[in-house]
Amino acid sequence: MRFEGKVALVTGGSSGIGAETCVRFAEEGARVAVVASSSPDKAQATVDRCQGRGRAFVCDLADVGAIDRLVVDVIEAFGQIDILVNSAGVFYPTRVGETDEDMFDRMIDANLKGCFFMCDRVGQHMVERGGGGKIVNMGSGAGVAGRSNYLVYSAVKAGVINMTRSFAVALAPHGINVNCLAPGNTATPMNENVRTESEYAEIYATIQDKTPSPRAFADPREMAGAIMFLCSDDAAAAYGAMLLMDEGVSAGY
Amino acid sequence: MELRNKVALISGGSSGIGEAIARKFASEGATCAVIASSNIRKVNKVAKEIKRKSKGYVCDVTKPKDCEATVAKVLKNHGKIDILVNAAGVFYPTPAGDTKPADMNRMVDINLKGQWNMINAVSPHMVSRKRGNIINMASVAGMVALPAYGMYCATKAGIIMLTKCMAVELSRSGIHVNSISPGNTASPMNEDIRTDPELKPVLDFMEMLTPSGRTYSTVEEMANAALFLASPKTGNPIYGANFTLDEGFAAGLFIAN
Repeated sequence: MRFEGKVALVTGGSSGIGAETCVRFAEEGARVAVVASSSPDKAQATVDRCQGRGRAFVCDLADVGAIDRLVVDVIEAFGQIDILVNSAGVFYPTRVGETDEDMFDRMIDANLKGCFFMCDRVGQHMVERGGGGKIVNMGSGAGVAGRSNYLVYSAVKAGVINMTRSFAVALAPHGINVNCLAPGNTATPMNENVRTESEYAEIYATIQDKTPSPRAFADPREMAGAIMFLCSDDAAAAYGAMLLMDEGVSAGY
Repeated sequence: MELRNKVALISGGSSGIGEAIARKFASEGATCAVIASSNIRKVNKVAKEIKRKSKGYVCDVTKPKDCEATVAKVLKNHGKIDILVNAAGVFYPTPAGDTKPADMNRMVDINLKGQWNMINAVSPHMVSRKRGNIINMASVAGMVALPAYGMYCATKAGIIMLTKCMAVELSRSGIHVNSISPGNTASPMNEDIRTDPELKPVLDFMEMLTPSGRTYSTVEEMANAALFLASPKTGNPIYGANFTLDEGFAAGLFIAN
């Protein structure tokens, strides 16, 4: 029970890597604030897998006022926040000549702005409490090298990776470890279309072709396992690190 | 017991991070072939203490023939090699204009060619089994330049790239190749900096550049990261990664307001 007595707040907790992360935290003894972007039912579905240690919250992460309220609500419910995992995010193609302003803004709001203000607000709480803390952001292999058909997503994830480093040095003097995970293709609802719809057949074939390891998609539970490691005392020396778990895609060709 | 029935070959295993990795891996069930560059008594002591039928070996990693012979011996004794950890290395300044060719060559021979020699010797066995896990010890000095340590930095930058190349080359055979970049980690390799009053300015410099306020990490923490990469429970999707554990050293600048 590595996380007995700890409180973990996980955004994007209703599905994919975030949901598996909530379940793992609960299995290892933490109480978990499961945050969904809009659907309390979806958050509750994850809470139902959390052995009575979870509680559902809803927060529109594009709204800073909503983030402020979320942090207050979670602290009221659990008394503290020891661990923050920013797993919320959206994923859709943004190609040259086919990307409108709304597509751009939504991507920035959900993947970068929300992550920034969560780090900022929860980071402040951790500083005020003393005693350190753990924050894990979600980078991506797409933030390490460009993606011709995911222009905005790759820019935003590069932003998250470097923002992680800045928060890491800003919060390190307070014993708060800020790191990011950079998953590659991981089988989650976010990319179910890529894996199943014929419209994306070409992208899927390219992914398989460009993946050096024998499999194209990792398992979200493996990403949750890495998040457990980064949030444990075993990784106490890691500040501002990017843990790349992408089946070798970013290493080269 | 995350490494039950695994055989791990660990260079630089008689002290520092390599020794800590051998101890950690054995505590998780692995049999360790622990390699020292010259001191067989020292490495035998480690092997005896960690048990699990572990054995000590002496191997000069700068000599390809020596590496091949050691791999053959380990295969004969233990039947297979699941994990290779390249932890052998040296650390000393090489200031421009004041470094003997022999000192520069020794740095490259051990830190860069030595890791290559071991990979070159072990990889045919791993490719034939279609599995394996290789962990190379790089360094934060492979990403951040340190004055007077040019050749150390260059060899470690070389390891980070060698790791990526080996990852893409060997991953199709199911072999994981990754590196760990420790920051300042308390080991015999840097005992002088931590204790010698003459080197206090170097220690002060390191302290100033460490955001976490803890200038030196522990070798056990590096061993934790090695276990994370080597364990089939956690390391599956990781190929060609460079995992930095450096107290924030490489992340950027801490500027007080």
